[in-house]
Amino acid sequence: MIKFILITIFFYFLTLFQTSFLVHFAVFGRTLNFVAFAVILWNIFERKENSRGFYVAGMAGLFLDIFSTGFIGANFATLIIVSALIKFLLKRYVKIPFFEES
Amino acid sequence: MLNTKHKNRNKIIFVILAILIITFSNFVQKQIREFFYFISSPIQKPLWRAGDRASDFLWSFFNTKNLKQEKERLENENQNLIFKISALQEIKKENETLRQALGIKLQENFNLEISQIINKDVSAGFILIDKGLLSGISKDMPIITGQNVLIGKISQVYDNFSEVMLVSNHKSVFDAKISSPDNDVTGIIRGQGSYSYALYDLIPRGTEISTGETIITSGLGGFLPKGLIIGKIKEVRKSDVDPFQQAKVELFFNISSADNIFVIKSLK
Repeated sequence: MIKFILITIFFYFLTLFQTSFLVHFAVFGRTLNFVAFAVILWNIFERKENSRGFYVAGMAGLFLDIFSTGFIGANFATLIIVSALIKFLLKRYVKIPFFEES
Repeated sequence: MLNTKHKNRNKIIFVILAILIITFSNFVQKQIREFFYFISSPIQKPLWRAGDRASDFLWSFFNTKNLKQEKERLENENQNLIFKISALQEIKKENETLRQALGIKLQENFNLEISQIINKDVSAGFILIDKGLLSGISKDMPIITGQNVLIGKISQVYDNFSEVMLVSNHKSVFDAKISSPDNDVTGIIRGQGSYSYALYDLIPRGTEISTGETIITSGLGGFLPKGLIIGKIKEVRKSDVDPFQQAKVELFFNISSADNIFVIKSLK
């Protein structure tokens, strides 16, 4: 339970950091989405049997939705689908001995 | 077997719950956003200022090589502007004399509300400012910098905050013209999604436009007063097939350099 609370707090502050600090560092006029990047990394490096990545994607998406202007649910759904896709691809097609052992 | 069934049931419950929460939160999204903006603004304001300073420092660090060229270019531009100002001051005097003679009052002063940016939407061209309904802000009010450079317009108002649709936003479209007494070419400015550039569109093919010319609001659209500065023409695109020509416009508004911005509440 504590882990879930910590994840929520971490992604809340990461979203604030993204929308108020990192937006100043645009590359070719575009801002990189570090929150989405963190979700992707989390899902890639998470153990196969673990499904905490979905919670991470959901919370990150929800905070991105709240601090953006579109309808609530767009980033939420996108990140959940991306997480599911990463998990599916890793389970079906990718075998990394290092992660298998750990 | 039972374990798999149990897991599948949990997944279905999770999906249904998520859909229900998301659907419900869209009905009360204004209240949810207002609450989060309220509790986050004490953190966001210092973060915004820190980001502003850090990006300024990095910019000067990486652009040291170009500083000499930039200084020379600015000195030339400064001399040209001094010349133009002296010419304009003469015209202003003449204009005032004529206005007095004809009894026409000057009407170009704005009733402004000073505000600060606290947040920017990552994907779309929106920013959040720290003034809202309680400060007399309403939808479609224009936002400018201290130098009369247009930033955008209010798209959503909360009690203490407002969302601003930037000029660069894909959905942003408004009337504009070239700021030259000899050239009265009107067209429309379309946002392109990039924070640096916009498109000056629907310019009649027969008219002459050139790079470096300044684009200002024409005042024809209704919600924007005329004369607000938008940007300068960077590139002209002509085609024999199209009835209109287009121009790429470099926007003067830089989101990182605008500390205080102003909401035009009304014309005085």
